Amino acid sequence: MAESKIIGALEMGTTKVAVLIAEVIDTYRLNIIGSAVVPSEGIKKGRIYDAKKANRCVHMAITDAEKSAGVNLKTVYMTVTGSDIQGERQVGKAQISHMAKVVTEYDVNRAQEEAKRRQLPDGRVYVQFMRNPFEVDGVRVDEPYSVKGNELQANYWAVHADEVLLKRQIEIVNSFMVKVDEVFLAGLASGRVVATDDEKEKGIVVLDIGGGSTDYAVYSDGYVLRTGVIDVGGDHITNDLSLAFRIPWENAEQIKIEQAKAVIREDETDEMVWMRGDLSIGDRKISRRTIQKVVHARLEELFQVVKHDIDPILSEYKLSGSVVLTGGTSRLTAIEALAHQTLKMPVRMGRNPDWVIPELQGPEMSSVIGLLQFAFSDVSGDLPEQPRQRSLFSRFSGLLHR
Amino acid sequence: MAVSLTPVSENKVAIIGLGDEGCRMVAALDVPQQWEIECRLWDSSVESLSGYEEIESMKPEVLGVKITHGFGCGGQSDLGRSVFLQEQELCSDLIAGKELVILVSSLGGGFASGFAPELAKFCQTRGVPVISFCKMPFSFQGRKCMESAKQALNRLRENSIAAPTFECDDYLPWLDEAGLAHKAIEQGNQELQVAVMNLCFLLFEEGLYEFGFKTLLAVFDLDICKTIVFSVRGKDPAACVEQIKERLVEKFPNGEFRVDRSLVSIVGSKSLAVDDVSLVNKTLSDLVGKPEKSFFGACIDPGREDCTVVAYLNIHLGRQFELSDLAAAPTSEKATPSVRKKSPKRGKSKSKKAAEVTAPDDSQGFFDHILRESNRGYFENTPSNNWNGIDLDVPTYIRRGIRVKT
Repeated sequence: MAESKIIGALEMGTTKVAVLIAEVIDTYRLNIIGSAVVPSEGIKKGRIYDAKKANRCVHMAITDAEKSAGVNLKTVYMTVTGSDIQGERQVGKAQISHMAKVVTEYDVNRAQEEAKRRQLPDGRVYVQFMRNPFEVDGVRVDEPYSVKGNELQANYWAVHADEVLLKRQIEIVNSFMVKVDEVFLAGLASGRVVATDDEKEKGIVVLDIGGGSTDYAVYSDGYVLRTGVIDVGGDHITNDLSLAFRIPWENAEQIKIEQAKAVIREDETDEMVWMRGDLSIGDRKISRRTIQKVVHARLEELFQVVKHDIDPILSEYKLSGSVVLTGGTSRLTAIEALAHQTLKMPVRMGRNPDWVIPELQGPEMSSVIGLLQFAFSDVSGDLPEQPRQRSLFSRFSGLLHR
Repeated sequence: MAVSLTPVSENKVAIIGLGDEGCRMVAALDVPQQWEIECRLWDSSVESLSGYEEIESMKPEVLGVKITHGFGCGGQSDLGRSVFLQEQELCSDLIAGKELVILVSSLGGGFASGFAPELAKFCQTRGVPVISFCKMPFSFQGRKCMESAKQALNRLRENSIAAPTFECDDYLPWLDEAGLAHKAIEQGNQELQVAVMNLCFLLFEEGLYEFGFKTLLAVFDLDICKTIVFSVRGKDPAACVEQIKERLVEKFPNGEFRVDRSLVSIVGSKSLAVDDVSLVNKTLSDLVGKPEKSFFGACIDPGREDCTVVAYLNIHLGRQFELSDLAAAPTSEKATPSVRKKSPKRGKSKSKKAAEVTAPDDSQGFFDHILRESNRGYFENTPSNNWNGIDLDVPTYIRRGIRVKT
């Protein structure tokens, strides 16, 4: 008889709370058996502002997913986002001890420990360590074993988060007797599904533009070289429209979805569009070009911020790869054209894997599907897409579990 | 649902005189036709509107006939509120296509006190910004009257982007020998009219409107700033400057302020020269530092012998914000003063004697008002989204000075 194990993925996003429950059969087959997507409340820019409301919608999402799967969830993998999540490069060096001056496991362990030894300031906690290529005497090597040299350097991209904010998020999940197994950066989770292994080898930037924040991850040679979160997302576009035209949030959201376009074409004639379209009192006409101006300015700035952040690493590694866009905001018309103009790189839209049911195919689901794949890799014993060590976070989340 | 079939007026700004005094003040405004301004006179009393039939362009209208039968609200602001509920359709028609509504009223507990706050709220909820110019009653008119006016003013401030206020008590020196207040009232009206005309002058003659009025307002809306408005009067610009100095020192004794934006307008006699205007500009700059953006306008009113300076100063309160953050803000500011040949007449309320008198406290109206709206909108009360010194929660179009056409 086939053995099965239940895994869960939870995304507590600014726009939605999504839960996927899957069955891992015989450690090599993944079968999504339940899902729920509930509009978020009490969350802005990826952070919880109203724990009560957030609690309610997370509860609803978990319960709905459990009902649709017909199982009870005991543990979940969870994505995190928000600009409190920061990354930095950490380096550990070790003199090669072998008499023949070849790198051994002992040297690798010493260099890695050295790299991870750095104490974080109070109130910060490590979320993930992402291994970058080793260096032997300053020369990059993927596998250092048996390489000759004098000094081995282990490089990591370490991601850490605000302890209080992270704790708050985990406590909400724990309060439903569901343990958080592991947390992942939303951008990395998206990258798992929207970028191919080949692209990750050649170099790619994954840009997950969500409702409250934008996550980016820069890959090269199969490694995650950089990650980052910018607290700007689709909500900012809605807010800009709402303030620009002094209209309620709901109307601004509707205009964003129906009328917004990321690029302004000078040859297009301007036309007026109705705010609500029902011609009732208070309904009014708004210039389509002005809508586009507001949206264009916001998105262009977002890409400029991303460019500013990733340019140093792109030039350091001489990357000339491409950009893949995902996240709910990537649905905006002509966003890839604007991204191409601003980032000066080829841009394509991300796609979720074909095996995912059509209801979960939207770009806003990339991160939760990617997270599920990470969970699957962990459970099935497959090698994750890159060497990854369980972070100090695992211990931390265990302590929080009641 | 009712559908408004009234053609949208081409005028972008509406000035509405509310109540007896409000109508009187607006009726006396001589608004040039090229300024895209629509003036209206609204009252609930047939009698008070009876003198304005000849001013057809201002469409004097008696409101709430079913409630007051044309007899006015009789000092009951609740009636003013009821009149508003009855006349919402009229209000809706008026504000259609408007980019700014200026309300002019004298608050004393009657029609204007009830109607104006409701109208301001109505406009704001429909996305039309409101500036409410108000006159407060004399203190001798009684506590009830004053309380009612203050309540109305508070509500107006909640629903307006700015509510410049003129205290009638400041005009007490104009009481005549017999103790009659009509000259004092007239003086107050005049000063309020000057403030309204100056704002319109800045809007339409000094390029403020073209610059992007809403954008500028949005900048003024920054919650870290506070807009103070002076209206000072003296026999010459130099005297006005002295008064402004005193006012600023009085308000900020430690000198810990910085002006980010200023809108200054001068109305002077025939002798007003460019040098005088420069003097005001220079003195202000010396005093408060050179603002990042300054709008300066001046005009001559041959009918007067004194000078009035109206200054809207956007004071920075010292929290983290740099105007350089407004990266691509337009630079077409009007830093050079210009003297307009044509003067805005103030019609019926012109007082020749006013020029000769100087008020004991050297000011006709001083008020400050913290703007309520913030331009972080949905992200209000969330931590600043700081990236390289820029708050990314503030809309990009504001920081880049992109004009929004609504």
